[in-house]
Amino acid sequence: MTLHGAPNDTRLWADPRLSRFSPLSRILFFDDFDCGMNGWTGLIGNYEGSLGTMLPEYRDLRPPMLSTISMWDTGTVGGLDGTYALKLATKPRPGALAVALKRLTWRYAGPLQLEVIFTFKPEAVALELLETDVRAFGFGLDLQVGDRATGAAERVMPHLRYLNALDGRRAEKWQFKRAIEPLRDIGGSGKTRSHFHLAPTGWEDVPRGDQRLCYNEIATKHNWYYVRIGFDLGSMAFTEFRCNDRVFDPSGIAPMRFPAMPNLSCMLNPFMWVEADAPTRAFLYVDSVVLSAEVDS
Amino acid sequence: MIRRSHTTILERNVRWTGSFASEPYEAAWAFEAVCFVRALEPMLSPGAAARVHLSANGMLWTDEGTPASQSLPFWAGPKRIDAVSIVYGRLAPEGLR
Repeated sequence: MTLHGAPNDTRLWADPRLSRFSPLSRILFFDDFDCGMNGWTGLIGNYEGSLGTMLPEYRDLRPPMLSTISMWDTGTVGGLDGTYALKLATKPRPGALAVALKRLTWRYAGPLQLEVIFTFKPEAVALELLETDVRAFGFGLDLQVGDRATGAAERVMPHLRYLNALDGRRAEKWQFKRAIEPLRDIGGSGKTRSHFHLAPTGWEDVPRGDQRLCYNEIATKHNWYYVRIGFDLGSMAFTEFRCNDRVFDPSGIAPMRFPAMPNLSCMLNPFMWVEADAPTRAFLYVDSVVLSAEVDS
Repeated sequence: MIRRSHTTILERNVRWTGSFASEPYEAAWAFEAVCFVRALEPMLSPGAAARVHLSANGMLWTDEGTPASQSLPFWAGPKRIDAVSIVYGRLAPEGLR
């Protein structure tokens, strides 16, 4: 019997913060950012010999920070519990991105589940709603099969983003990306390649994926949201996707898939990002994250 | 309890010319900060200077107050800043308000 968030799951009662989540049988990590960065760091593009060899799109990515979510008009908000949340902040430029990721490896090619409690807002630079200043935020996994995999030797990258606005117009829908960006050689040794998977091209709408979130009515009010993404490392396919009350059909979404790379066996990197749509900093705040799995005993 | 610390890269691979301020970085948890500047290429203007700004909201800034008389080559060494009220910090050159 799988205790998938059942009320009698005693693991969840052991920590009320964990009872907000519905983890699979093995909790791989439970990160509450009141306790620090917990291994979440900024994304840097691959380089060789010089930082100048990095793909240009990777040069400006901003790293995460610990935020008290302090507003100019009301003061400190804090996390859903405690004082701190992980914050991603872009530069104030349309298309600017900030990315955080955590680097692990996996041990069992079975079901995985990522759960995140988050909120987003632009920097409150004007006494206006600013509801179209954040272009998008998203969640993803960077995965590769093991070095003795019997099936296709693949690197697989599930991407899901909420397209909040585009070119100043509300979009308010979930999208996924399976299109592969060009893989480019970095440096001259032939050891390193890079591709900019968060490029604005190739995004597809999640079927029936429109969703209006609780943005609230001024730029300094934040409401927390919940997202859950299920992905199976055996079939390399989505198994579940929900945000708050909306459950989306996982059969309608697919990850990027391309040939495995030499040094990434069993890679398991969850990541998240935020993108600006205006010359205003876009913020993604994360209160806590749980990555869980069904692991053979 | 071992003392905790955190290192962040405020800016990377950026060519600083004229007035320049780093992006804001929240550090309400910090009692002190030590700043380093690393030049990836020879500096064309060794007389540049920088100082620390503080902000309560990341939008309006004030000087942190540590004298910033050192030029960048000297400043490239560690510089300790004691400030118990940091909410946001950023680096800015002399003259930027």
